[in-house]
Amino acid sequence: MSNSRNVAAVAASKDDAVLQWVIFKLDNETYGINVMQVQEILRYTDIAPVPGAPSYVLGIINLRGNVVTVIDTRSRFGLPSAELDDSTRIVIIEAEKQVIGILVDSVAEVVYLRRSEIDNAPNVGTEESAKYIQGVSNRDNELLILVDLDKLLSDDEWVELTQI
Amino acid sequence: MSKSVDETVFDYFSLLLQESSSSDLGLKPETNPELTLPKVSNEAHYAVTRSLLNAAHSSSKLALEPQTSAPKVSTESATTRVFAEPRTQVDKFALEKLLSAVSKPSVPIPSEPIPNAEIALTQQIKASAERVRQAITHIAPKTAQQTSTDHIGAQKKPRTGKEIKSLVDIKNNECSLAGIKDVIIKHDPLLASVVAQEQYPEPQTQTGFIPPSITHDLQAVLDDEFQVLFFKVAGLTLAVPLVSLGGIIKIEKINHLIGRPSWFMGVQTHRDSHINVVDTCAWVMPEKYSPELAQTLDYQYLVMLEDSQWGLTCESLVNAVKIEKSHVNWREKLGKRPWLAGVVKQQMCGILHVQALIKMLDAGLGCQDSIDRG
Repeated sequence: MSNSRNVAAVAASKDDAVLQWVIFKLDNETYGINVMQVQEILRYTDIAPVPGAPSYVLGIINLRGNVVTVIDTRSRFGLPSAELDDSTRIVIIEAEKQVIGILVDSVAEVVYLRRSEIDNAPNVGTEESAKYIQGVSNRDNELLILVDLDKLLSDDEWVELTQI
Repeated sequence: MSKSVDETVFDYFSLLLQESSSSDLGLKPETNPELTLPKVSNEAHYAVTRSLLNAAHSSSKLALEPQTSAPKVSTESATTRVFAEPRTQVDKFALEKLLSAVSKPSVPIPSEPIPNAEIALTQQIKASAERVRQAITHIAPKTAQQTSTDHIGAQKKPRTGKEIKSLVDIKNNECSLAGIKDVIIKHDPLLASVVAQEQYPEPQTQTGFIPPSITHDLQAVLDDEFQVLFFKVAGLTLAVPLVSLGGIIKIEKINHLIGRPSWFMGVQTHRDSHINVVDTCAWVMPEKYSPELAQTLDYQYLVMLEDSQWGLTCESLVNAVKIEKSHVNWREKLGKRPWLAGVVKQQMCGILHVQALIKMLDAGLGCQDSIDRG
């Protein structure tokens, strides 16, 4: 009896997996990205602009001998630009088998969320950026907006990045 | 001949005037399909036919055209034919007097009451005949020319008897009645729609039918006297029935979500749930909404819509009062704003149709978008 109960609990816990999310701030909103996609977090360094690059590309950085393209996240999210400061960070992520950097206002912490704690985002709006959000969650009475990094760029844009 | 032509003509007009069901007229047009009228009688008949048809606004003139064009009428005279002016009133006794020369006094004038349905049909036929007459007047030369060419065929194949039969049968049975309606409908699309309604009858149609209100679902749940909450947004007062009010929440931190419409202010957390916050001014008055106006707005509360996650921002809550259903001009027709159930007469403010509003918001529609798009 107790064995079957334990099996059910394990199965339920498997369905309700705990995920870790790296929390960052952008325009006073709190966003989260899957920790498994985050490689490292850098302080702001000079970003070399690339002539002819798409508007959402800030430029490139040299990360231990590797060239990494940095995305203007505010621009991508349709948010107004802001001054850089000490808390500005470049989050190096891996998505669609590419390594890129995203510029954010600040990085706060890593949080644990059960899958069941993630709600769907309101399904209104037809803008491209609407699909960047994969869900929302309530944490300490604060809304956490979870970003689907794979959808941050379209297929064509991911291809375009490789050609920079 | 079972019956004289004069009798037939009289009966014909009697029937056109809808004075009787005349089942006892004893007309047997089929017994004389080759019926041809004597010239004198024909002329009298045609003249009377034209004037009386116009006067009575009766059956379709198109159906009668072949009668008015006797075989002996030349093409030239046919093209210059002028239709008689319609008379607005029909005097039964004047008709009798007019027909006395060609009718037998023994023919009884029926005096049975006319059923309501027949009165309605008569009015429709009259109206239709008038429209057809006007249309013919406009195309008179062409029609007359065509008619004159038809005369050649008419000489070979007289149609007078058959047409009289069909018109006579209007009073005798339903099938013939339907037949003449078909003839009229062919020339009158407006009447066609009316008849289509008759074929699938709705009881109210004949008595000033008012379509059911599209807010009947809301009205059904409201008592004759019900409470509404008035709230203000950018100077505009809106009312929401209390039965549709999910609650009032103080606005705290609204989290902006990217990629959403401008009227979607974001999400506010409340008791472990998320409230979708609607910028009411931007949604209700998109044409007036501007960055300048947005700066002046001072939203204080969220008016929650039923048990949905949608909350309308408002600047102030006015009051909650009882109003009567009759004090609301309920919207009766579909329009651009299904979310607007009506107008409260006394306060002159819109009352929300919350269910429709929720439906629209769920579909991400703006205030003037069609709800079917969702």
